[in-house]
Amino acid sequence: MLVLEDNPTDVFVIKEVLANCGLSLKPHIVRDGQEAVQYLQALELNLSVPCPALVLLDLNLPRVDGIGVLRQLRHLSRCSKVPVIVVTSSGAEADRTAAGELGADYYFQKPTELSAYMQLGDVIKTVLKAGG
Amino acid sequence: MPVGCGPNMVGEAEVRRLKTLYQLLAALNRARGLEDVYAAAITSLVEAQTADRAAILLFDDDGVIRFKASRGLSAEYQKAVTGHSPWPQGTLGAEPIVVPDVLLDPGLSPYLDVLERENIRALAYIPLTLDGAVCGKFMLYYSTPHACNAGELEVSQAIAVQVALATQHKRAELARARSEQRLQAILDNSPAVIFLKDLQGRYQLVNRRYEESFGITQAELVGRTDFDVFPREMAEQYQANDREVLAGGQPLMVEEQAPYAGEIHSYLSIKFPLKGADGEIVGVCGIATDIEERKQAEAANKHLAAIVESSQDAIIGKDVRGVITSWNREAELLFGYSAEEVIGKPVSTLAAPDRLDEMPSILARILQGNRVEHFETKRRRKNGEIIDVALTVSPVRDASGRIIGASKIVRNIMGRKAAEAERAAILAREQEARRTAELLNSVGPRLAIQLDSKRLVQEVTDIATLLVGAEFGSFFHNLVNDKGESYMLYTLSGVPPEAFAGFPMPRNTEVFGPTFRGDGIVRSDDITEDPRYGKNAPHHGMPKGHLPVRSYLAAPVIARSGEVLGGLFFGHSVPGKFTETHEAIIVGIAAQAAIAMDNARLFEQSQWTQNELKRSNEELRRANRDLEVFAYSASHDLQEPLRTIAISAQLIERGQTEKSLGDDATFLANIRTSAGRMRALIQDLLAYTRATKYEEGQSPAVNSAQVLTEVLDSLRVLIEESGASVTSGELPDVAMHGSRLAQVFQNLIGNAIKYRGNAAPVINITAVTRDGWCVFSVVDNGMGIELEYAERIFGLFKRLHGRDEYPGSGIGLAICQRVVEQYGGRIWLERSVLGGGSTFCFSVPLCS
Repeated sequence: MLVLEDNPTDVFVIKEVLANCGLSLKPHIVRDGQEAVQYLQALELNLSVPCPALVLLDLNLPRVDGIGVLRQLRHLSRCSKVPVIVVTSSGAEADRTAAGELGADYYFQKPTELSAYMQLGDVIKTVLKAGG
Repeated sequence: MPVGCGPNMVGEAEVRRLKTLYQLLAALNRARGLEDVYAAAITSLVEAQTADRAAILLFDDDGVIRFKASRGLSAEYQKAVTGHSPWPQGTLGAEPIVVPDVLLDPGLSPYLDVLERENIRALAYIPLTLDGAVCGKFMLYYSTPHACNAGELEVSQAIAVQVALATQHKRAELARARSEQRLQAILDNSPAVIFLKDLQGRYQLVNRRYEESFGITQAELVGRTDFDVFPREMAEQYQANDREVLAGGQPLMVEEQAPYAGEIHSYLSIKFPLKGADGEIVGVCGIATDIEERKQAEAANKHLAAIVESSQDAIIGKDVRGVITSWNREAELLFGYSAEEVIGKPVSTLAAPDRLDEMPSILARILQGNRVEHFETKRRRKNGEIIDVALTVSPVRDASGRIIGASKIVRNIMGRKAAEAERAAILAREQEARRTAELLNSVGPRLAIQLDSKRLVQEVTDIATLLVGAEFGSFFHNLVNDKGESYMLYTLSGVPPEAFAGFPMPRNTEVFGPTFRGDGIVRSDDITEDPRYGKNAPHHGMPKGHLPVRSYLAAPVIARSGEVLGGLFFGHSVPGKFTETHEAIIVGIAAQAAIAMDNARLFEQSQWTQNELKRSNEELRRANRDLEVFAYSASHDLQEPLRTIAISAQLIERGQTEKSLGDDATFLANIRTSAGRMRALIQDLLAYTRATKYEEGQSPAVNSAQVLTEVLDSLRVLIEESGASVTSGELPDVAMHGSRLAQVFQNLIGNAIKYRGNAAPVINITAVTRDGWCVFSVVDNGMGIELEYAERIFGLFKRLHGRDEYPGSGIGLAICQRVVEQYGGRIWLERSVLGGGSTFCFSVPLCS
């Protein structure tokens, strides 16, 4: 699976969440929006690389923001239908709407409480079950 | 010698015959008429002869012999033999014819039946002659054969002669009588007065007309003279004329006066000597006609002729063929032809070359009996000059009403035409003046509606150029550079801009200066001659390529404030084109233009202001949006690291106990609380910036009671937890945004609850209105504030208590102050007692 996140703390927590999920998902971390785009382009061309089962997407990425990356993803010739969970600190309505229009499966606002953060695991399970 | 019948009988017969003759002669003497003559003759014939029947026949004028008298003959017989005569009329030397026995006369065989019926056996024809020529016959009839003897025939012939004579005599008498009658009829029927006087002047004869005219009969007049009948002078006149006639032996035509019906009439008398049969003058005969009417008609004609002659108009008479028959003095003067030259010539002599068919058509109308009234046309004089004339032509009729010609009055209307032209020119000038006035009047409204400055000034220039008849006009703005020159050309009329381009702007010359100073109108008939002109370097006069200006007119346009907005300048290449009238027009237009331009300026300014307003509103909105975005992203960006800090701290704490952490636990707790506080601060800051946002648009109205209710609802939990009771009085509508008012209420009430004392909070909100403002009071029973802090508490982040004692960043009252001040109001601590509650007040505008 693909995790697009630049904040190291968040990366740590997400890794924790994934580990606690019980899902044997090995996350590929990309910290930069531009890098993410390149990764997706490579993914498109290299048919030997399988599509990620899930994408966790922060919106506040350097160079290319999350919405841009999501758009890129949705225009791929392969892997465009990969389930996406937006994991962001932004509560802005515009971001929520944009994410929804680009087919994000869930919009998870990063909490300040750690315990609340761990609930991301449930969200992942739900989305994977639904999408799969 | 005729053969007789016997000697005794001859003697007896002889006596008888002589007796008959005497009787006949006596009878003839007595005879009054022809009938008497014939009757006498028949009687004689019968007595003288033994004939028992006799007849007299005479040739009538028509040459037919007819019975004039008879005895013993039937009408039938008369009719049968009428016209039958042995001798033609006028035969000379006719002898009696005896027919002793009709049966034996072959010439009478056609008449035998008639004769037999009439019992006539023998006849005798006795010719009646006059001057030897047969004029009729006697007839003697015998019922038995009878041969007349000579004696009988002699007697008959003697009788015949007498009868012929008597007949002739009588006929002559008759003819004479008839002739006399006829003559008298002529005299009496004549309308002329006819008279005959003898050599002594005594009246012999007058006719009926004379009698009627002078009231005297012929009987009374005969033998008397004129002096007996007429007034002396007249009688003398007549006598004189008569004497002249007698002396000259020639007829005389003379006018004489005579009285008639109380007036004096003129008579035209023809007097001639009456000669007797022997040629001697026996008297004077006169035939006189009353010519008084004619004289009056003549006098009238003369009078008319005099009028015609003295008329100021040319009067021309022509006949039905259009030949000139009369020509008065004025006609001579007008046309240059004398009467002799032109009478008898056709009237077409006078026609102008392009109007040759006019005259025939006029004549045609006249001949139909129509008048031609005041017909304006042209005619040609003798010298060829064409003149404008007005004709009035009327038909001329004779006494019977027949049109015999036309009378034409010709008036020279050249003077009138000139006067008319003059009048037309005056009228045209008047109309132009009126048009100008109307145009001027319309200028105002036209300019008034033109609020676009540039277009307005163009219109002014166009209209003004038109009204003064300039070749070109211009408006220059009064924009002067520091050198005191360079007026800016603003609008131009009459020439394309290129004509003005390429040369310097009018300098502050003495010609242009006055206008831009607002000194008044400058008008010059020829600017090149004006001493003020041409003094300025470098052009010394008209710059090359400049429009040729000779006539010059310029006026300043001065605003209400007295500021000279600019100048109107007009030029014409012909000198002397601009008059005082034009000056007046320009003064009017400049005034109207000034007003219009002022208005346009004001309008533009207001437009500008409106635009500015719009723009600033736009900016405001943009600023607000920017602020919003900034505030949001700023707060978000500021808060993001705090989140990380918090999470990180929790991660560290996770799986650790207080014991394992040791002092780190405190530090970590500090980290968390600091981060939390930071978050709160940032959020408050965000709220504060939102509070400073200018509300766009007009302040709406809001019902403050309603807002309070909503605020209390949102504070429900807090109110319940604290057991607070909140009451309020009547709260009005205020000119605020509801959300802002809510903010203030929320902060104040929240504070009242938060900073409560020992008792449950009791809060009361009231409102007082005055002078368009509403002052709200929030009264609580909380812990109170020391008044020395009354100002400080409204400061940003100013808190009077420790951080740990009461939550909150201390931004609430600062926010309230910002909000209230935005509406022009104020917020203050009205009253406070430590431990005794506080009263906060804030003022906001009421709804108008």
